[in-house]
Amino acid sequence: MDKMHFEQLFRTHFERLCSFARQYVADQDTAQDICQKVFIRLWEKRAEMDSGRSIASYLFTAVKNRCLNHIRDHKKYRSHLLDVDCGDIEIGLAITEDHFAVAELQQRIDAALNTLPPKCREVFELSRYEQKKYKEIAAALEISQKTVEAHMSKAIKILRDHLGDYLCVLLLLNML
Amino acid sequence: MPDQELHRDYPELMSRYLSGNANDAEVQQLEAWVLEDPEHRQQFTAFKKAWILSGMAGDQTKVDVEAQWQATSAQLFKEPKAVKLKPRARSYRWLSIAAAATMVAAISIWALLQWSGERELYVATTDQVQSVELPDGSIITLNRASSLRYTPVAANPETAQAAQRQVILEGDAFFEVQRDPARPFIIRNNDLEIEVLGTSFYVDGRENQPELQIIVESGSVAVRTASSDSLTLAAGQKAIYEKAVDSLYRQPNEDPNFQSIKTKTITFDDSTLEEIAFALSRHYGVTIVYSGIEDSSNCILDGDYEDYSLEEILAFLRSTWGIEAVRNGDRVVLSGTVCQ
Repeated sequence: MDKMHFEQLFRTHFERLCSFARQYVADQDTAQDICQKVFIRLWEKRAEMDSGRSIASYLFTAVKNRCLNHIRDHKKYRSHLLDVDCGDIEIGLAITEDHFAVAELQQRIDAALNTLPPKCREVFELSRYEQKKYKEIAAALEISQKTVEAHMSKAIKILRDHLGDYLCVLLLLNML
Repeated sequence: MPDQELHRDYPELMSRYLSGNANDAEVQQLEAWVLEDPEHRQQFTAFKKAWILSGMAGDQTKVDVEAQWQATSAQLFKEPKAVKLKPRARSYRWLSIAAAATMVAAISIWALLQWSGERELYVATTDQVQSVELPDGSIITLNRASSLRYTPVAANPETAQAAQRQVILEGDAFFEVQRDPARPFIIRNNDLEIEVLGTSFYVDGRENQPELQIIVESGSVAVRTASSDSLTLAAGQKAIYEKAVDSLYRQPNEDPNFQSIKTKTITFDDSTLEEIAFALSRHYGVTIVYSGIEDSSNCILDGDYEDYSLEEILAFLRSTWGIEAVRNGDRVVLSGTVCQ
């Protein structure tokens, strides 16, 4: 791998990797930091790279691992058992392949978020996109932690229902 | 954990886990539930996928690939630095040990040489926090068992080296640096180099900790590792450097006590046992271990504790929580089965 090839890889994959990373870390700066580190590592280890292996899947795997490490370091309690892969790298590779798929997924998620009652959506967004703790959300919105809890599980249930079939389609496409 | 406190509502428990709000007992409970039935595992996986995918909601900030490429290539392909930083910390450690051994007083300060009108300064503490004013007006609050050496460096036109204010730090300290754009203020220890113009921030470089932390109160701070990884911190942000894996990253600061050595106040806000132990061990320079506490969910504290001695805090824990809290030299043992 020479410098030109590396630059081309960077320009092709960087943005996709960032949106993939954002599935895990939500915060854009952190996502970019993680992707940048992965590229730096790729360059440093270029001599050891197996030429037979897809560089794209190396990049996605490396980004995912770094994201999980990041989450583990920042949340107090994580479980290796519960964090095992559920095919998300394949999903990441598939949906970020083209901009239409990404845009479509984003539309689906936005549509799902739009169906949430306003308070429920507010709670979910504070937790998911601003990494606020239940305690902080309860204080900010002047509701009880129990109510935060109820809003959160309702929000995830609705998202699951909206995105569930989409995930099945993706997985099927992948197997073909 | 008493049975009635277990979660019965698994969607709530799953949401708690995915959003990072589950505690240890809840994680274990969820693990057991997921393992006990393939149906449960499926439910959890569906929840997890929905959670992960929701990270890709539409209104993402656009990634500036060009700027990111410039930053990355600058890091990778820049000319190697003329000065490689491997601070000579070892010899200073000997100095600090010698100083601690020979001085009855906790503090020793001496002027070593005259340079650009300012003196070099060396300060070491043992069991007292010490506030030090540098010749440039910067104020450093040095925690117990820490040392710093301040060296003003004049500009050298031959090597194009700009003037600098250099500090070599062992241990942890809170810095309030006097602004001087002509002379950057640079702090080094074994692992990191921190550069600022004028700002206030806390540096935790204690050798016995697995990670180094830099927490910024105001202004901005640049942090570099020996392997030339770097990042810039703004007010309210924290940098963490994990020594074992040579990994440097940034996160919002959630530690309300990073200024505690300066303010002499420890603040707890519904803090957990783990958070309390971390704040106390740093503030008082002790190791805190807890044994036998099976359920720490009630071991929480609230409020500001100003100018408390460790003994007073421990007496307070004993009476509030109804557990044993005993100090033995540098070690504090908390024991009991449950907090009241």
